[in-house]
Amino acid sequence: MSKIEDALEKAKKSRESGSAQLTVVGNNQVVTDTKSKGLDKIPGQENDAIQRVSYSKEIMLMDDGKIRDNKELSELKIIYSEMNDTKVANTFRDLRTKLIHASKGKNFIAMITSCYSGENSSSVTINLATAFSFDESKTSLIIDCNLSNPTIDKMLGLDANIGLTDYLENEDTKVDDTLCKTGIKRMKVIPAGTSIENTVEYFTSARIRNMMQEILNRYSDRYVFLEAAPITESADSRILMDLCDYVILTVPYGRVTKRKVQDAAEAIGDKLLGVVFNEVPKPPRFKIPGTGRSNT
Amino acid sequence: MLQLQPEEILYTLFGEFYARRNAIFIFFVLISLGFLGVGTVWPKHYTSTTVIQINSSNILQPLLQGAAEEAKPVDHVANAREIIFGEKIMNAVMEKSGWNEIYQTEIERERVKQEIKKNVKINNLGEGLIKIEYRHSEPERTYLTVKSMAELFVSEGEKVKSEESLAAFNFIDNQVNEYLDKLTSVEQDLLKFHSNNPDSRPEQAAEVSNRITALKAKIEQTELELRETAIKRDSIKKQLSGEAAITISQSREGQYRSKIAEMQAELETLRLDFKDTYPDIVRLKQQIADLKTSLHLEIERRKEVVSKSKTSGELYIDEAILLNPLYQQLRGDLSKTETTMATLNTRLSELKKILVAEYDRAQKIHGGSTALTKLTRDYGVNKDIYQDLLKRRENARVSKSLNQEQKGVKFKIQEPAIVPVLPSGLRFIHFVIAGLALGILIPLMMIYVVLLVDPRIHFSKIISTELKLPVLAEINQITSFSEEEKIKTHMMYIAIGVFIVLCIYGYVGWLKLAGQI
Repeated sequence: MSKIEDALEKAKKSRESGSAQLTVVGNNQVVTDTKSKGLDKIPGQENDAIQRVSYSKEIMLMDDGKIRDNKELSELKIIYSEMNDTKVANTFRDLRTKLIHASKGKNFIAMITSCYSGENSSSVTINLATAFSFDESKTSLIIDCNLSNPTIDKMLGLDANIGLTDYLENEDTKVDDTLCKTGIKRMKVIPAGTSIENTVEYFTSARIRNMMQEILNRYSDRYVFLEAAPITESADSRILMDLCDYVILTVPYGRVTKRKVQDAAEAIGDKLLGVVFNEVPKPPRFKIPGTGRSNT
Repeated sequence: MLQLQPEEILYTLFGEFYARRNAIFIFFVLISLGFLGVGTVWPKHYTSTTVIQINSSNILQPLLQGAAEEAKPVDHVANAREIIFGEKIMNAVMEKSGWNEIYQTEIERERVKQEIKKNVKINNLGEGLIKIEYRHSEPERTYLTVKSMAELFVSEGEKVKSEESLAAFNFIDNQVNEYLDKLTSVEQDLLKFHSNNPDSRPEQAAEVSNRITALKAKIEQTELELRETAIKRDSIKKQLSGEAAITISQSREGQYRSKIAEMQAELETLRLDFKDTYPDIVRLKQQIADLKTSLHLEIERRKEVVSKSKTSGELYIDEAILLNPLYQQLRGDLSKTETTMATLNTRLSELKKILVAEYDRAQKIHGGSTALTKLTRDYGVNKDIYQDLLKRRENARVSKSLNQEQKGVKFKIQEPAIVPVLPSGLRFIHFVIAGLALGILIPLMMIYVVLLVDPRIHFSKIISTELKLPVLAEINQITSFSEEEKIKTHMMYIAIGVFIVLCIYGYVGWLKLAGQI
């Protein structure tokens, strides 16, 4: 058994022992943790203070599965701290800072969408979530809401049997059952699921609202990213906008016209936080002779 | 309009350049090898030049200056072109430059002549200098052609100049003779005119004019006097009428009235002292009655005479009036005045007749004067031109003598032709440089044009400035380890490709230098 598994086992036993524990919440308040039998069993409206408890320790002890090494991340085109092209990693870090600044430090649900179906915004979603998970005090969760063309699990190389649609269809399915380990520290994914019929009805149901509330409230330091279908081509994405705090629009270099971006921005409306201009071609990287520094 | 910074454009441009490296490499190879190929087969051309100085003054110009219209500035280039491209010189050039040895048939020679004409450039360098330039693939042939062309042009030019001066002298000599004939003819005409028109001296016209003026003055004076005399006559007539009236008032009628008045006064005086029966009063009464009767008769008589005179138109003059001395004097004056008027009228008519006669004379003199003026003017003009041409003929004679003695020649080869060592125009090295530079620049320019005309978004600034949307981040393409390795390998292939191209360049250049191609 690995060290992580040992630590998780200890944490489980500690929670099940029923002894009251003092835990520090976000605003330096000390609250009493009652007997809890799993986070999904805490009643949503009755004890908000308890729900807002920070589970920093639990984050630290969270099971992320087998952690991927740098080479694997590089092949998946996912950023990592020690990557050679520091510019890309730093750009995602800056983007993370901007989002935290916009939410004034609170956790949020952000939807990432694109202008048209030929464009893939999944890379931005994964890397942005990864940038949040760089911070040891934060976790990120990606929910693949692009039911017509789910790509997150494929891009991460996951073999998911259950996902969002399964949770929404089946009352017995719990949120925990849908969470997939990504192999990236502090980052989880809820894949699209196996059933992709009547998708609009899924997103208008009360169950998905409860799910979002539950996910958001379970950890005060959890940031949720919804990977959505192109906003101008999907009704799902427009419905999903009601569930999120912000919308980020991805615009790929040299592939969309101003008119399309304008239409997408108008469709999003006030919730649009901004545009991420991605896939910009870069000049070749080389080391400047004598300085040991690269041109980027 | 979107304002992009140069570094933004360059960053995107090089990014695209790198991303499309395969296509760009193909372009580079095609363009650079294409230029190399063209540079290899591009024919070499050698240019040889010579500068000839020509005296800018035309021999006719100073000779004919002022006598004829100013000629246009001499077009040395056109003249040179005409002389050099003439059949005579071109044949000599073909002979001297060795063209005839290469080309035997007339057709070939004619074709070469046309080719030479096409490749010869004659330019004006100003200050009487012309440059003859010839371009050909053989340096020796180029040199010989230009050299012979220059020498032949100079010798032909000298000959032409000599002929020109002779022609100028002959022309002026002809003109002198022509004007001499004209002058003689006009002189004879003048003599003939003078003999036919003795009064047609120019001073005659002035005399006639003076006379006319004097006559006009006299006529005006006479007319004035006539008007004054008429006024005087009318005045005398009026005075005569007035004197008659005064005289009438002093006639018998008045005497009667005076006498009656006197008697009436006396009667009144007597009546103060006496009764009406007093004899003196009775006498006076009778006398007054008689006088009144006489007065009445007199009045009747006068009225009758006056009415008669009115009907007959005759002036009624009482005999008493006729005896009036003033009246008589006035009558005398009237007679004199009327006599004067008759005299003046006669004089006026005479003067008018004389004036008409003078007018006729003047008209005759004027007609003669016009003819005389024309003849005199013709004579003057012809005389001036003749004298001027005489001077010019002497100058032309000197010029002709100078040219005949080869002392007035102004053709000189300023810069002789030399054998060209380096080819002129586009050379192999130009194609080499252009091929390598354009191989890179053309694809870059194409990408730049695509960036400008493509409506799709290539700059994040468009989103922020034109669409007014906040841009949270601009993210470059992410490359994996394996992709980077592939790119490295790929770049190595490209570098090898570029090296091969450069090797081809070097090899072809070496062959070119060695003269093997």
